[in-house]
Amino acid sequence: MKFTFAPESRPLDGFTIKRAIARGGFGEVYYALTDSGKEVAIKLLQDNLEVELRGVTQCLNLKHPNLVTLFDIKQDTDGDHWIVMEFVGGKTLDRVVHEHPNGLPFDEVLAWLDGIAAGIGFLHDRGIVHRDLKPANIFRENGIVKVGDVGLSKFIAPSRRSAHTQSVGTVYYMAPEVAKGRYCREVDVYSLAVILYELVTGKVPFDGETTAEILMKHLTERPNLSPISANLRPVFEAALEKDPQRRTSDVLELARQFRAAATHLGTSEALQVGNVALGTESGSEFHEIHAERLRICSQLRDLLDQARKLETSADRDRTWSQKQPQIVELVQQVRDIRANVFQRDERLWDYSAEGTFSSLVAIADKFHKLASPRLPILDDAHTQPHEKPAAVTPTPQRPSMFPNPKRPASRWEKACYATGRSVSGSLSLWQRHPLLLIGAAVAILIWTLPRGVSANVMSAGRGLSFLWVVLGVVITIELFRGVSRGVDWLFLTERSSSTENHERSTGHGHQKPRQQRMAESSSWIRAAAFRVVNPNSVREISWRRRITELSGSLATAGLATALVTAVLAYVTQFFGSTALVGQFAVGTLLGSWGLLIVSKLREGLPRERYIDRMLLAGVGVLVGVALFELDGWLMIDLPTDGWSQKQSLLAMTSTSLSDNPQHILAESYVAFFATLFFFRRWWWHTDSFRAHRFRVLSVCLTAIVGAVAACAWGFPVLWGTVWAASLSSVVQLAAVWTPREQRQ
Amino acid sequence: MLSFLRHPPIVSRPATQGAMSAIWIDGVGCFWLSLKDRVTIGGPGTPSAKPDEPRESADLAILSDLKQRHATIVRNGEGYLLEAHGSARVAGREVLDRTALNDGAIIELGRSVRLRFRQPSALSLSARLDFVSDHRPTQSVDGVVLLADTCLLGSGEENHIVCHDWLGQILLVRQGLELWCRSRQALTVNGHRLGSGRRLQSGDVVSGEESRFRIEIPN
Repeated sequence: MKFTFAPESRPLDGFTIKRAIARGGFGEVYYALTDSGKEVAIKLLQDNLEVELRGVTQCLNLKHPNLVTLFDIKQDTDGDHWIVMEFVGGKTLDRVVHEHPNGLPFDEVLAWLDGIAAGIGFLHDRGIVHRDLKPANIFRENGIVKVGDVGLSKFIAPSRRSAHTQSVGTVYYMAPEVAKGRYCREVDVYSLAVILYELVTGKVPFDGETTAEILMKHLTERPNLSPISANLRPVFEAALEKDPQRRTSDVLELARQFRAAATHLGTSEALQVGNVALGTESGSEFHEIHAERLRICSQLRDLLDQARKLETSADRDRTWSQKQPQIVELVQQVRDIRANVFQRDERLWDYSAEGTFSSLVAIADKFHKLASPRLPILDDAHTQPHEKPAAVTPTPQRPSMFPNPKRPASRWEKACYATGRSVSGSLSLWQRHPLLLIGAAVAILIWTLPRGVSANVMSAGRGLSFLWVVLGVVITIELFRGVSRGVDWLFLTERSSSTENHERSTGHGHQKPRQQRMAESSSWIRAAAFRVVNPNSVREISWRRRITELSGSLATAGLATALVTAVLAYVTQFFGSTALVGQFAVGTLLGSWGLLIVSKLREGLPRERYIDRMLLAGVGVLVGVALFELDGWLMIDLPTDGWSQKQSLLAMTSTSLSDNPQHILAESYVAFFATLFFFRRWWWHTDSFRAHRFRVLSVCLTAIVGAVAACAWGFPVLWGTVWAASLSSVVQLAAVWTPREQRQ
Repeated sequence: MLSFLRHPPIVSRPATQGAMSAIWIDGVGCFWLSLKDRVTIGGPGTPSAKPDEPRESADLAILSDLKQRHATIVRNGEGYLLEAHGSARVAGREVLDRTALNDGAIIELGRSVRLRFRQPSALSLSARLDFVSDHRPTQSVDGVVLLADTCLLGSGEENHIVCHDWLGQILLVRQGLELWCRSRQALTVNGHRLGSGRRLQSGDVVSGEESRFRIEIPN
């Protein structure tokens, strides 16, 4: 909805508009404060007709609690007229009806009806017809119903305004004779009957696609009274009569008839008639039930008061355990009352009774807890048989995920290795927590799906373009490598002694026959694998074993991610909000899964380090895209730390730098993860033949790479560093590790 | 050990009346936003003797017969507590010292003031106080948002400020004592297009396709 006047504008001297309230049929309504702070509603009259102004002027001095008070009419500098009136907070009847699609509870209907009828009846008594009665014009504040737009609706005939500009909201409540230009007070009776019908059933009697259709129904169609109970039907029939001469003549009369008919509804009928009886009751039964409810409530309250007295009584000589039997007795009494009530009629048990009941149970609970240490009998008799066994039952011996490397391998373990089976217990963990993986997978799916497809495709496109850039860099470097091996440091290679040994030995390799060198392949490292087993060692690993170990690792990665995130969240207060915790955990989990999957599938195969790096970078791109999408979905901001995007490499590659330094671009996400995954030899973190199960040095190096990558791509440096370190830790914790002596 | 990772501590401002930000939303209402970790609730208080001295009152001063400092709502890392300084009941139970507040709890203060505590979004620690009884501060306010990290504005019940008839969602993000505005829809702030987010200053008018609000932030 667009409004003409902006907040803080002062079209009228002395009034400051704070916000728009609504747009009615006759103009825009604003909430405004006078210079001294009085709150008022001001309404701009858009069609500035003399006759309309006269109508309002007539009503200017009417006073009734159920009518919105008019204060004044003012003219602004442009000559437009404004009505200054009482500001009424609270919900409009329109909103209330929306919240009760099946109709309002019976006592609510009566409360609204009485207020409206009193206000309109007063108007009629003063010789004024409202003519635009509708739920959007009716308010209730502090329990008092107020009818608005008094005196404004001079000529609302559709003949004067075209059927297109007429708002449908008005037409629903418009009496048929209005189309012929007749406005007697029966118009208001008809409108009130329509409103009443809507309050009772939740629907208007005449609905349609267009204004013309609804008008036609008002003129010709008989209202469908089947959702209304039989006692009330004559009331509606008379009030919704097409001919104003035969219609109920007065709103107060309508209210009286409705109340009388409702009060004489029989019990059985009240239950079978549709919506009037929904969750509530009608007529005389209503009063009986109400009285009975009050009686039950006061009974319950007495018991609760006794319990509260016991709870707070200061007599020190009686311990909690001595008081407890009394409380137990009170609870028993209340339980009896409740059982009794439910046996008779469950409608007698209302919310307030339930509230009192639960308060009493809570007190009894407290007594039980406080008294228990001194009431060993109660403990033994009640709590132990239920609670003890669970605690005593030895937890099933779970095979250690991380077998102690100093412990000599058991015969079973050796046998497992010989047959290529997993010894790590990962299978059993996987079996025990299948939901862990499924749950995470579903969560990721849900997180990524709701965004529009076009945005996803765009991000993926960006990601691919970055992958392409990275590829270009790699090819360049590889070419350069051919010229000089000096650039090896770029990749922060942790050279194992074996590699160096091997390089030394290949220094003497000139004597070797040419064919033999060809057979060893161009990879120098592979030859070393025959002497020292390390992640570069070529070995045969069955698919079954890969999958088994991988599933175990993925599950463990979930646990490790949870652990790392929990430590960061609770020990260091790293995260500013819950959403950030989610973003971090999902990033760590996705990243570690990607790394683990690629490494596991490539484990033992002849090492082609650039293929590995490219695969990992690709995974990095996917992780980056996923996290960017999640970022957008959660609408979060990673805390930035001074390193501007404009100083980063991104400024050269991207033309659309964000004007918000808090907002991380898709390019930043993708490039950061691609770089991080590319420039580390992750297989040294994940391979089962890595030198150590967990190397702190690896974590530190990864953190440094993360920091550099974050700086380079305008990613938050702190988050980049911490994310890199967490990935390294999680991956090392999760990956299967074979002790050196068991490697073959 | 990792104290360098800590966020800068949030400095709470002195409790003067009007320390809350206000957000005026077209077609919806007026909501107060509190960034403080401790929000005191009380009655209107008495005017101080010296005219130039600011009037001593609670952060949320309700026109009611409450004590000047009747209760305090405290936010800790995980949730919210109500500390009672006068007679108070939460969910029907008397609060003697302090009690935890859960989503939907009715807070009854004194004889007649009733507030509802809501934490509508699982993704955010922020909470909202609804006025259940007809007591209000000196001007009509539709609710008070206790802004921990974010404040969601949209049509669903999961939003901190429920704006019926809105199509999109707007997010207010807290950065220390600053408020930032973000949304997936195209927004303008004072007529300028909002990019991916922007720091809000007092008096900023944020407009979307069907939505408009103005924010007032005290100095």
